[in-house]
Amino acid sequence: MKLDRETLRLTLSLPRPDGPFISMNGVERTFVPVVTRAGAKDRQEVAKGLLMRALEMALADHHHQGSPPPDGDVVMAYFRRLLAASPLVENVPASDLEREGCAEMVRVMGVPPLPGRIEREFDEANWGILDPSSTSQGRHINEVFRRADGNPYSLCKTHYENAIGLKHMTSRMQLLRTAFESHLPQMDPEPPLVGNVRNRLSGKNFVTALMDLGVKTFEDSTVVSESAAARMTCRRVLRQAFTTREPVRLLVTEGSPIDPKGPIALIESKDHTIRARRIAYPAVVTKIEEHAAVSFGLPARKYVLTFEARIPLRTGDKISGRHGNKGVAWVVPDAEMPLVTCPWDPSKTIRADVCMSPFSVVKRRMMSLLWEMMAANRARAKGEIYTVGPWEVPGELSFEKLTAEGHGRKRTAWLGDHRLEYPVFAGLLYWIRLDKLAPEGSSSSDDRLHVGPLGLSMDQTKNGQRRDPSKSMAMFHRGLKSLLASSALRSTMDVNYLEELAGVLEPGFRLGDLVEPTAAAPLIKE
Amino acid sequence: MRAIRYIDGTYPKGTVLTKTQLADLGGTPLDPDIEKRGATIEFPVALLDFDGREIRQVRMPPAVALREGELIILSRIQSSVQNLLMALEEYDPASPKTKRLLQVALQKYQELVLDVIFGKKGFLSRSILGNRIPRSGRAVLLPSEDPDPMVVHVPATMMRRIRVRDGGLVVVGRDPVIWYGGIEILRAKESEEEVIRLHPLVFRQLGGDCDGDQVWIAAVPPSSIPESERKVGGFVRRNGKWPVPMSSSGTRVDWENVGYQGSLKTEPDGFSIGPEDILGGTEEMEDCERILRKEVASECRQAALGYDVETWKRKVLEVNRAQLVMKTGMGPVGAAAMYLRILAGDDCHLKRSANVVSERLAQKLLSHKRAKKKGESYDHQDCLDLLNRRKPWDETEREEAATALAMMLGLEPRHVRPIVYAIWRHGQGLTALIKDRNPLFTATTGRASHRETALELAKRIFIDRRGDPDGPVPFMLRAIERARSERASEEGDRGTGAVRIPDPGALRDEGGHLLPGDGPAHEAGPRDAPAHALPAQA
Repeated sequence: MKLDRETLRLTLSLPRPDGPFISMNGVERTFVPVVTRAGAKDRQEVAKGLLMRALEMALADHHHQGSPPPDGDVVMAYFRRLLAASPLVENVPASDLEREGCAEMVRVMGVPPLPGRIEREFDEANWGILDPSSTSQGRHINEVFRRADGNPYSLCKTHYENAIGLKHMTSRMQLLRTAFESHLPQMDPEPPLVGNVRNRLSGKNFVTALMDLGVKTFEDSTVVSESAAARMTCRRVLRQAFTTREPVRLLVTEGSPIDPKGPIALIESKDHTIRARRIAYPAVVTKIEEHAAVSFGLPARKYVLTFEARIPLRTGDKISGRHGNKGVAWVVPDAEMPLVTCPWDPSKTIRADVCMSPFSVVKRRMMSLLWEMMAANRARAKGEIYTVGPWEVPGELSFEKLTAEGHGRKRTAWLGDHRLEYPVFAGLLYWIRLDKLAPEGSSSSDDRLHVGPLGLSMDQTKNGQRRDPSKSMAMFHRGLKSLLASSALRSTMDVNYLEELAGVLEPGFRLGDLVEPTAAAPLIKE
Repeated sequence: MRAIRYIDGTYPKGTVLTKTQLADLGGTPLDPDIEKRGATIEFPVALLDFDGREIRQVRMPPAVALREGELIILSRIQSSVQNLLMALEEYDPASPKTKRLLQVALQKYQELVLDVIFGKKGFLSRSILGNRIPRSGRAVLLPSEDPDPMVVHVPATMMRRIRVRDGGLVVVGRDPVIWYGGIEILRAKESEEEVIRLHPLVFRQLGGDCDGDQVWIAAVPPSSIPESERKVGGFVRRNGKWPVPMSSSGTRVDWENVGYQGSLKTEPDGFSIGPEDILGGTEEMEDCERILRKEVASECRQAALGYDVETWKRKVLEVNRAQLVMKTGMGPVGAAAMYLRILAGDDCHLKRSANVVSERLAQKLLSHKRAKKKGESYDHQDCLDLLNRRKPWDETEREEAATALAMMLGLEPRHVRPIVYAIWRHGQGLTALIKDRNPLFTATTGRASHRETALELAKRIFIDRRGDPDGPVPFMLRAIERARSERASEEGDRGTGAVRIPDPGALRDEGGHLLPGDGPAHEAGPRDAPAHALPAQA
C-alpha cells in the first residue's frame, strides 16, 4: 500500500489473482473468474463488502496501533478471517472437481451486446482456448465459458482429466461435465480398467449387460443388483452453519451420531433448538468449528458442523457412466439379474451387476460406451489397466480392432432358469454415483398454513409443489374446475390472473363461483 | 462525529445513537428496542428516491430473525443500512460530493429492499405469489411393474403427510406442465420406496424419463372427489399408446387386458445391441431402427469408427448450439412475458391478451423439440423477433404482425391483436420500449398501484406486526380487493370501444408523485374480446 502525501491518493496492490492472461484473436484478454451458480450476484456483493471491511480493519490497525502499513497479504489475511466468520458465508461442500470447475469459468470481456437472435455463437478462433460446450445462461450467453487451456480438443479441465473415448461421441458433452463434477466419492473406490491418464473420478467397474429388461430398463431406468448397490456405498459430507449472538449449548460433540432433523444445539435464552436440517441419512458429526463473527454489527459466534454419512445405493439414486449415460437406479435382488457368459472367460458364467437398455445407447450414438466395455473386457482378460487420453484411442485399442478380437461379441444369457432368446452384449463399465439421492429430492407438504415470524404465511422453500398458472390451466382444460378452485383457494394474488387466462377458454369464468366455503386451515406458528 | 438521530415514533426514548455505537464490535450493544422495532433514519438534507420524489427519512428494519434464511435477508439489508449510515456520517453540507455519496447509498438501499421483496427469490414471490399446493409432494420418477395404469405408487411417508389412503385420488404431473395432458388423476398406492412409480403408459403424456426426472402429486381435496372420480386416467384412457420399445405388435392399448399381457412382451427376451451389430449392420440393428423409428445405424457406425478432429469439432459445435436453445430461450421469453404484462398495465383486455401470448410463448419454447420434429416453420425466437422489432410499423404491418403472431402461436387473432396494437402504438419493439424506461420500472411489477402497494407493504413488513390485524397479509388482501373494485368501477365508467394503454408519463400528479391506476384512455381500434365486468370482491 502506498500513500501519496501530496495528492492524498492511496494505492493498494492486492496479490494478482490466479489464472492466465492469454492472447485470444490477437488481442490480450483478461479473464475474470466468475461463479455462475445460483446467487452469484449476492456472492459478489458479499465478497466485495468483506474486502472493503478487511481494508478498513487493516488501515485501522495501522492508524491506531502503529502497525506497519498493510500490504496486500495483510489485507487478504483479514479478508480470509472475515470470510470464515461471516454469517453470510457458508462452506459449500462440493467435490474438488466442482470447486475447481468454478474457478475455470471465465468471462470474455468486450463481447458486444447480443443482437437479435440469441444463441450460442462460438468464434472458430476460440477453438482450443475455450470449451464450446460450456453452459452459460441468460445474458451471459457467449460471454461465460470454461477455459480450455490450449488443448487441441478444446476441452475444459473436467473433460480433459476424466473423459475417455470422446472420439466416438459428440453429444451430451455438458451432461458429462455435470456428472463428473457432481459425483460422490465412494467408500472403496476402484481405479477404472480403462481410464483417463489423469482420472480423478471415484467409482466401480461393474459387469454391465446391455439388454432390454422390459419395464425395468424403460426410459433410462438402470437396474442394479443388491450386491452391487452395497458395494457402491459412498461418503456424503455436509456442513451446516449457524450464527448467533446468544449463548449456545451444543448438544453434540465430534464423533456423535446424529439423525436427520436431530437436535444439534440449544439457545437457552430463547428456548430454541437448532436441528440438523441438511442431512437425510443418519450421520456422524466429524468436525465442529467455532468462529468469532459479527451479526447486525454486534459480536456473535458462528458454528460450522461437518456431518459425514455412509450411504449405500438405493432405488431412486442417480448413477452414471462416463458417456452421458445417466439413469435412476432400480435396485433388485441378485437373483433377478441375468446370468451372462463371462466376456473375458467364456468358460464361465457371471451375474450382471447392472443392466441398461441398448436403446438408450443407440438412440444417443454413445459408441464410446461400447468401446469402453470392449476395452475393459480386454484389460480384464489380460490383467492390465489402460490409461488413455480424453479423445484419442491407441491403435491396439481401436473400436474395429477390439471388435475383430472378439471383445464385442454377444453371448448367451439366462434370466432365472430361462435362456434368453437373444444373445447379450456384456462387459465391464465404470459407474459413478451422482449427488442426487432419492430421499434428498423427495419432499411433501401438508395443508397447514405456516405462519412465519413476520406474520405472513410462509411455505418451506423445498417442500410441496409450487403452484403455477400452467398447472391450473391444465386442470381447467381437463374440466377439473372444482380442483382448480380448491388448489387456488389459498392463493392470494394469482386468482385474478387465473380468471383472466381461463376467460379465454370460457368468457366470464369466475373462480370465486366454484369455491365452496371451507373451514379455516389450521395454523402453525413457527 | 455526526450523531445520527433515530426518530421512530414508536421508539419512546428518542435516543440519539452514533454510527460507532451501531457498528463498533466491542462497544455498546444496540438498544434492544431498536433491534426489535427497527428505526427511522432521518437525513439532514432532502434526497431523491428512485421515483424522483424527495424524501427526508428512511426506515431501518428490525434486527429480529428467527430463521437462518431470514437472517441472511435482513443481514443484507443491514449491511446496506450501515453503508447509508457511513455516508450520512460523512455528509458535509458544504460538499456536493458527500451529498452525491449519500444519494447513491440511499438508492442502493432502496434497490436492495425492492430486490429483497420483489426479486425472483424475493419475499413476495417466495411467500405470497409462489406458495405451494396444499397436500402435495414430489419425488424421483421410476416405472412401475403394477399392470394397472391407473395406479401411482407413492412413498408411504408422503402418503401420510398429504393424508391420502390406499386407493385415494391424487393429481400427478411433471413440471413444466406444457399442455393439458401434463397432469393426470390416478389412484395412490403406498410404497416403501422413496420414489414415485408410474405405469409406462403415463410417461408419454408427462414427457418424463428416468434419468432423474421428478414428478409431483397433489391430493384431490374432498370437495373435488366426485368430479375427479369421473376423470381418473381420463387422458391416458383416450390417448394412451404403448411406448414403442415395450410393444412388439403395434402401439394400440387393449384396455380389456391392459396389463403387460396381450400384445406386450411378457418376459424379457434379452434384446441387445453390441459392437458387432453396429459395425456389421445386423438384423438386430434394423429392429432397433424400427423400434426407435430413427435411422441411427449409419451414424452409429460412423461414431464407432471414430470421427476425425474436424468432423468431431463441427458436430460438437452443432450439438451444443441446438442444446442451448432451451437454456438461452428461457431468459428472453420470460423477459418478454414480463414486458407484455407491464405494458398491459391495469387494462383487463390488454392484460388478457398479454397473458395468453406470454403463456403460449412459454409453451412454444418448451415444446421446441417436438415442434421441430413436426416440421413447424416458426419457433419462439420468430415470435420474439416480431415482438421486439424496433422499426415502427404502419397500419397494414400492424394487422399483418398480429395475424402472423397469432398463426405462429396457434391462437385466434382476436387474442393477439390487443397487445400487438399496444406495442404498435409505442412505435417500437417490446424490448426497446421497456428498456428505454426507468430500469426500476421493470424491476417491480410496473403498475403504479402495485408499486404504491408494494412500498406500503415494504414498510409494513419491516415493522414487527405479528398477530396484528392490520399486518401485511390483511393489508395485501385489502389492496387486491381495492384494486378490483377500482377496476370494476373503471369498467363501468369507460363503456366499450376503447383499448386503454397505460402511459407512465401520465401517472403522476402535479407534484410529480405517482398516482395509482391508469393513465388517460387512447382509442386504438375496436375491442376484440367481449367485455365482462370483474367481480367487485374475491
